[in-house]
Amino acid sequence: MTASTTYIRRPELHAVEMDGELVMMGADQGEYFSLRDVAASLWQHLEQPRTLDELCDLVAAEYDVSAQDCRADIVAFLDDLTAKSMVDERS
Amino acid sequence: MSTGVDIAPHHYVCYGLHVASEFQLDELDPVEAPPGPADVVVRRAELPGVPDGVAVLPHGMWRLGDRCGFHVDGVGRYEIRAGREILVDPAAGVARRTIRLYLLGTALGALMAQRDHLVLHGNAVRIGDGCAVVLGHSGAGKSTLAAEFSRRGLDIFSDDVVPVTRDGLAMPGSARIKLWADALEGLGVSPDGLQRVDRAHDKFQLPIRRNPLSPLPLRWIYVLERSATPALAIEPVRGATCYALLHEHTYRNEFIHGDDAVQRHLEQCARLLPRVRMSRVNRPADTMTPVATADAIIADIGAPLSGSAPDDGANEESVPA
Repeated sequence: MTASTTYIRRPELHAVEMDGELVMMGADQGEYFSLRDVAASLWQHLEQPRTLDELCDLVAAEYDVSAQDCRADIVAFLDDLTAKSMVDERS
Repeated sequence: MSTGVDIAPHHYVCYGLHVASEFQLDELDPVEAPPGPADVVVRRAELPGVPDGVAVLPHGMWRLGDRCGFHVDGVGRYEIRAGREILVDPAAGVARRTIRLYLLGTALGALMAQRDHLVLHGNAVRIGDGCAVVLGHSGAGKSTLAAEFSRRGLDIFSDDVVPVTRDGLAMPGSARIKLWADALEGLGVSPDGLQRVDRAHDKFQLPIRRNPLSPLPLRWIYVLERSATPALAIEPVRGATCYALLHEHTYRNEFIHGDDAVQRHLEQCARLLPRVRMSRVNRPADTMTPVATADAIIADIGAPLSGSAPDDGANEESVPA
């Protein structure tokens, strides 16, 4: 991961919103994930390519947290999404 | 290929639809011909099979826009069009009841999915002014449980296939339960005089008595699962797990293939889930009986409901065996 690495969600994933929770089917048929709160918000932002810095700034603008303090959680979330083939990473 | 005016001498109602069929369908109740056109026409046709360039799914299934089909060796080809037509191209010499088995199962299920129903693989039973559906894999004991509910005087809504509308209504199907010979024996029913599902299966059609049924809101979903726990327990499920279970137990879920089908299924689940209470029925393999399972489900339904709002994971809904 470098400063210029961007992340974007995979276009083929389908999602619905239910009670403030975003539920989506994963790359494998029948595998579902649900995202809420900050995670759901990050997912919306990932509709277009975003760098880690941009995502931290977006979260800091929306929630009462500094870009620096949320960084580690966002990195972990991106790693998780990458492992589940839910986002594409572009250097 | 036979085209033009259909001469369909047999008329039935199934899942709330008027079906006009060239084939006699013994499993459905005959009705008078409707004054206008039927909702669904079943006819014989020569079918070429999978259209060019279309991915073949498991079991020879395929889907292209509002058409889908499948092929069963030695039985024939089926094609389902736009939720209105089922075309059947029977293999030479196949038994009529075998044609009907796939016609009333996979083909009619696919047709209901084309009509924007969430088609669940399970059995439904009427409870007051709503209904409960029991889901489970083949062999999980769904039909035996339905027979037990029927024995207790409850109306069985549908056996094996339960189509649910966009508004969360379950549609009543055939008044028969398909049971294996050993399940009949367990219920103390002799298979003598019952019709076999087909020659290849030791499975029989058990007609059931029931009151006339209209579509009813689906309120409870129970998923039968084997478990290593010592006692039978009912456990609520929430969130993404509900979607995974509904996908797993959607009838012929191989057809949920392609972007439009996946998105539609997801939306159907999202519309249904706020209206129902979904639970797993964890059953220890050694002691699972239809009687104990029926007792637990009825006790769970009878338990004070926490209202329509999703509750926050309290485990008061567990029922001891």
